[in-house]
Order: sequence, then C-alpha cells, then structure tokens
Amino acid sequence: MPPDSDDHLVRYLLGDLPEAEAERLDERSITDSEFALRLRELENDLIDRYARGEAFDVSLEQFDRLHPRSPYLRGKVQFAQALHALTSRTVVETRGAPSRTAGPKAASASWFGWPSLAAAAVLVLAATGYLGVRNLQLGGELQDVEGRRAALERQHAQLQKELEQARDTPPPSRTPIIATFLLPPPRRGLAVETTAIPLPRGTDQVRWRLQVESDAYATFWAALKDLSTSRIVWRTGDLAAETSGSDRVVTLTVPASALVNERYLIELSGIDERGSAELVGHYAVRLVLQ
Amino acid sequence: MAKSQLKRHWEPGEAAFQRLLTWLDEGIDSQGERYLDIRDRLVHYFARRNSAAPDDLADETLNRVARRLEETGAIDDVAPARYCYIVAKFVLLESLRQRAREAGPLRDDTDAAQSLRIAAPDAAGDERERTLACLERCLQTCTASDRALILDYYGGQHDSARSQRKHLAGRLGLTANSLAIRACRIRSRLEACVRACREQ
Repeated sequence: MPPDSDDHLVRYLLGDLPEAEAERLDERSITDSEFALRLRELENDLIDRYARGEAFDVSLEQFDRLHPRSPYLRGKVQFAQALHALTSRTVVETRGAPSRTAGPKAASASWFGWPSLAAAAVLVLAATGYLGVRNLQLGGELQDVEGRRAALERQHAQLQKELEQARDTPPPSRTPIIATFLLPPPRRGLAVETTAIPLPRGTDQVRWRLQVESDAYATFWAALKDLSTSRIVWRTGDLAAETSGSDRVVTLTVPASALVNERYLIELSGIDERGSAELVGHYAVRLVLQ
Repeated sequence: MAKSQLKRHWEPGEAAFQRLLTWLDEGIDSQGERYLDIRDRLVHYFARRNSAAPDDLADETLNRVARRLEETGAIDDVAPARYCYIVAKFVLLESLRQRAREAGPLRDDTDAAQSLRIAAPDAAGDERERTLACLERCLQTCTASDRALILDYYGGQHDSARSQRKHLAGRLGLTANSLAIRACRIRSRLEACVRACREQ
C-alpha cells in the first residue's frame, strides 16, 4: 500500500499503523498544512459515512471498536449525525420555502433632528436649480443608459431563473419500497440456520426485525457481512430494542443497493454498561431476487 | 469531558502571547490565523491520541512554547510548527503518564465517558437531541454564507459528494481546494462550539 494513499491514512486514523509510522504522520499532521487538511477531509468523510450508515469498507470494523473508547470520535460521530439530520431537514424545508425579500428598514432617520432637516432642505432647494439645467442635458444620455441597463437586467433575470430551475429541479420522487422481514432469535448450540428472504424487484430498502432473547442490553449494534467476500458491507450506529408482544425486537434497515450478493450474515452485538460490545447472535440470510 | 490534570506552571502575558503570534507567523502577519491553525492541528493530534482533554493539552503546548520564547528571546534552529510538535509529544507523554498514575484500579476519563453512554435507555436519543439543538444554536452564530456553505458542502451522500462539491465550488467561484479549506475550518469551529455547548 503506498505510504500516503487514502487507505494508508485511514489506517492511521484508525490507529492501525506501527508506532513509528504513526509518529511520522503525527508530525506531518502538524507541520504540513496540506497534509493536515487532507487528513481532516478523510476523517470527516469517514465519520460522515459512518454517521449516515452508508456502505463502507471493511476497515471500518476497527472504527466500530475504536469509537466507543474514544470521547473524541464519539463527539465527532454525534456531530456528524446532527449535521446529517440537519442537512436532510434543510433540503426538505428549502424545497417548499417561499423566497424571502428584504423588507423596508425601520425608520433609521429618527435621530435626525428637525433643525438639521431644515438646513438640508435649503441646500436641496439651492442645488435644484443647477441640477434642473444639468438634468436636461443629461436626460437623453440617461434614457439610453437606462434602456440598456433594463435590457441587461432582464437578460440577467432570465439567466438567473433558468439557473435556479436547473439547480432546484428535484429528482422525480416516489414512495420508497421497503421489504420487511422478521428473523427469529438464533438458537443456542446449533449451527446458524439460513433464512431465505424473497426480495421483490425494485425494493429500495430491506428492513430486518431481529428477535432477541436477551434483555440484558438497552443498545445494540448490527453488522451485515457478505458471506461471499467476508466483508462487512453495512454497519449501524446505536439501535434500541423495542417490545413487540412478549418479544424484544431490534430493527435494522439497509439500502437494497448495498446488497449485491446472495448470502449475508447479520451479527448482532449488545452494548453493555461499560460500552463494550458483546455478540448476541448471528442471523444468516439468503436473498432470493423475485 | 474531564479537564486535564496537567499542572499549569505558567501562562503567557500579553507581551509573551504577541511574541508567540509573531514567531508562528514567520514574517507574514496572519492576524492570528496561523496561531488558530496550529492550535487546531494540535487539538486534533491530541484527540487522535485519545486524550481526554485535547483542547487543554493544545493550550498547554502553546503555553510552553511561549514560555520558551520568553526565556530565550528566539527559537530559530527549528521551524515553528515542528517545534510545536516536539513540545506536543512531551506534553502527550506527560499526560499519559499522569493518567496511568491516577487511574490505578479506578476507571480513567475514557471509561467514565463510556459509562455515561448507556446511562439510561433513552440516553443515546437524548444525547442526539442535545447535540442537534447545540448545532442549531451554533449555526446561528455563523454568517449566513458560512451557514449555507457548510450545509451544502456536507449535505450530499458519499457517492454524489464529489460532483456536488465541484458544482458548489463553481457557484462560489472557488477552487476545490479553497472550498475544502473553508468547509473544514467552518466545521472545526462548529465542532468546537457544539462541544462547548454540550459541556454547559
């Protein structure tokens, strides 16, 4: 792996490099402004993808292990989640928002006393005579200039309108198709059973409701592993269990675009009070595209 | 977050602080930008090294540099940023030793932060709400153009981010690099503001 490749720097950010190499990059992160910026961009990008629950590289398994132990990363992830929530909301709001124009300013001349006003009026009267003559001379020229300016403004407004329309035209929207499946709790002591999941064509998201037997955890994490590549293709943030009848259920939603192969293993971990992850169970699934 | 337990023996007065700014500027008056930039890099260095109080350690580092400048009048055998790194390494080592001494069988700051995490079933949700409220409050302190920039810059999905940012740079008449620098700076400021807001 090239020493300054993105992958190498991600390993550095995840604390996965030998100490000597980490120190070399530590030094560059302070002495080299371009490098510091690149590192910050990579770090923000990594955290944003994690916070948005986007599909990511296997190296982020380490991120998952690292982030509960690091107050810094936890803060960064929370910030990224908040920023993501806000930007998503802003996009929705701005689409329907009326454009705002500046209203008339408050009477800012209220401090302007009457004596000053009278003096100003005399000056204005005196100047009017001169300006009247000058105005006649300039009238014709001004009319020409005004005409040209108005034409340019019309042209500008038209271009601006076209630009805004091109920028703001939302993609055609439709209700996303979500396929939901309930997976029974894994049975202890037995080999992992595979559940076949019929996946309708055109599905946007797959929602798995995982039944859990343990009530020892308030928070869970889930990871989705592609069994054909042994890579984690999806990982969640904190998930809360909900009660459904006598069962506890943890819901995991994954974009269908992340599911390119057939066989996956969902690893569900419970987070104990010290913040450590403990494996609760595996749920094996086989997707059958319909 | 717990404050660093490193003892501060000395803090720069106005003259010493000015000398530090001038030294960091290396002959080009940056109006304090260079100081803020180096401090920011130090904060991230300590944070990546899992320090519980990166801001405090960055300040301690710069205080020590300022003190050295005060004592010697000049440091010209090494570039300012590199000298700051050398001092930062010592500050980090000291803080790690101190943490190890103090932790003993008890939990350290990091453990304490972890245990707060699952304090109650709704704690994670509350924390998220609080962070969001803080971010909204902090965004109000930004200029309208900074606010629009950060929301546009970080608004897209990973797949489309590159083209979206290119488009944004074109719209603002900036190079991609200038836009990245500006977005990073605004984000760093916002992160610091949100951190401070959450600690209130």
